[in-house]
Amino acid sequence: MVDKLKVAIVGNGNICNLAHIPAWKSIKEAEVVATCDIIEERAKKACIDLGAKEYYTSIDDMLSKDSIDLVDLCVPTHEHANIAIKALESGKHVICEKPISNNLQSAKLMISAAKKNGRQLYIAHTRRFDPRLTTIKETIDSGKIGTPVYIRRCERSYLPFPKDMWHWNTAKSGGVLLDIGIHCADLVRWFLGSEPIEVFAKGKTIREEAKEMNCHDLVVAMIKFEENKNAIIEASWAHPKTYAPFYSELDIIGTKGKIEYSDQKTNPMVFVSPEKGINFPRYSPLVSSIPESFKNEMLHFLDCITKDIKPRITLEDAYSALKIIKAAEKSISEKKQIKVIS
Amino acid sequence: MINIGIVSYAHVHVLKYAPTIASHPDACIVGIVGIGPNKELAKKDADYYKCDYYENLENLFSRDDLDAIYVGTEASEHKEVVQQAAEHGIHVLCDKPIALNLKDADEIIEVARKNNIKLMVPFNPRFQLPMIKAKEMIDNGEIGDLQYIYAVKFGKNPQNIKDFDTSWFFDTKKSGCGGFGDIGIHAIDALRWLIGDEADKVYADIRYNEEGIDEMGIATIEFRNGVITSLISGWTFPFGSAPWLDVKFEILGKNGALVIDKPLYEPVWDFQIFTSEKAEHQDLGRRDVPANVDEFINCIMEDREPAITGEDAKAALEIVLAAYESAKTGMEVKLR
Repeated sequence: MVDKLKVAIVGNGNICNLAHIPAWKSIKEAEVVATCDIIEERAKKACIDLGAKEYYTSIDDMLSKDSIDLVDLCVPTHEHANIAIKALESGKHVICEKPISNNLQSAKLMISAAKKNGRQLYIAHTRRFDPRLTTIKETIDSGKIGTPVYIRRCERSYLPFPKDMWHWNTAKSGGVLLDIGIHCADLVRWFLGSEPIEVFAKGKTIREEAKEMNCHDLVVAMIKFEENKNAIIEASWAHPKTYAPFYSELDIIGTKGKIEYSDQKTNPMVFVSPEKGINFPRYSPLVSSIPESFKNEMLHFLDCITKDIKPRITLEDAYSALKIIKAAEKSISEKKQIKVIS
Repeated sequence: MINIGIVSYAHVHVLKYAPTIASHPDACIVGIVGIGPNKELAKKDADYYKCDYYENLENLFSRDDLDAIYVGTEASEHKEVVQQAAEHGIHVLCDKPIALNLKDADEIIEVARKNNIKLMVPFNPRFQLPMIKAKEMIDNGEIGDLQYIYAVKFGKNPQNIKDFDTSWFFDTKKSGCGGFGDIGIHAIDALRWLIGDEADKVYADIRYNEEGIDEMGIATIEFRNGVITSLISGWTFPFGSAPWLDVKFEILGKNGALVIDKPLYEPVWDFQIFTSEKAEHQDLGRRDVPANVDEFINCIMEDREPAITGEDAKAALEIVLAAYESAKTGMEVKLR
């Protein structure tokens, strides 16, 4: 039997602790051997939590080890390219949290670094592994609703972080448009099965944090796709806490029918217990997907590496989603429709 | 008692207006004019309601007991009918859209004004109880300054209506537009009313079928006060769905959010309030045509402006027309 793949998790903050660590813990096919964070305490805590062998505060020290096969990147978006490229150049495969990067140039560099070094780079668009959404994709592909011609996807939340967190800093996170909008952009493109042509978008600055940080906390973008298909996406950090920590809606209209999916109304995961009453375990306070999505995602990427399979989300997919978001960004600032570069 | 004439059985809405008027305690149907399609049905209904049946408009207007009419003709005929009614001093409840273009809308408004008649155009969402509650809460500042509204208004394709000739809906010379405008204009009126301001810019994607008729469209409408709205509407509600309409308004203010939903689900929550402290779910119920008829009759009896005026109907039409223009040019259209 071949040795288990050796994984290092870089960036041991929110998404690492809430989603990636539980996923890796439940996976027997790989072993997390190292953690790494510029804040030592976080690296150490994650290391103990996972029962890993060692923790690092320097990415360079960590990457110099040959004992690591795969780097799981959970660092802020603006650090993706820099660290992913270093890891690829040191001969490691990389799983990188979405979005691929906050700009197209560095995303391209990441893709070419993967090719040049013969290593795999996977972008963790977790929605594509969410069983609710994969079921919807299968339903579309089965032809039940004919050809999908229109999709609306909204993802709304109350960003629970103070204004000094990197999310509110558009230069780092790309703002709500990139951080949340990328999910919507990827989903509508995946479901429609077409390429985007043109984007028209508007942004709003609603919360005090957004005003102080001079960023948008709600964006809405209309996307024209090839084959006369259309989408509208909406991403918000400005909805009240009580709206549901994460709330999403999906409406798909096909030539023969329609699919509606809303986290709130169609919850297949209601747990009822005499002690706790009715529970909606999907609503983790900070994570928008159910835990299963992250596990599925990691298992799939491991499979891709060991069996040399094409990933369900390719680099081209991740890059296309970013192109939509970049066109939306430009549309907001130039106040007009923007062609998606091909 | 307000004596009302029904003009034409072209619009399928007449099937709701006629019984509503007939059963209203302060109104009765005195005559039905069968101009346009579905003449046989008009004749049959005149028997049923025990009122007079006319082949032409003049005969209805020559009655000296006529107070008002409901106009259910093809949209292209509205101007002609309203002009005649106004000249006879007859009040008008004219189905939407008020006209096919702004010039005709202006002429309709002007002739009504000059002859001092009541002119009302019925838009259903305004009278729905969740909408009224939302309007009150917004105006009372309960959710802070309005920021964003997402509106859904879907109906079924009229060609699916059995035993009723709806072919003029698919002739844009008569209807003005297809599903996006036909259904969306209701939501557009509601948006103007909720926001309490006029639209400033409109951008739209509209999907046309092979026959050149639009079935649905999406629009982003920015209002003068900065509120952004997205609207999706059309004849895209699947035939298999039990309710006729799919209506949803998701409203975000600085300090709270409201959701007005179709009462499709169990438990039935058609109105939801979200603030930083709590989420509240209510079932308010809705009424559309009866409330429009009530308002029309009351504005005549109380001799006041109707809740929805010709100007309102024109403003809604202007937004619809701007959306079609935007979809054609691919660019945002600035109003006025």
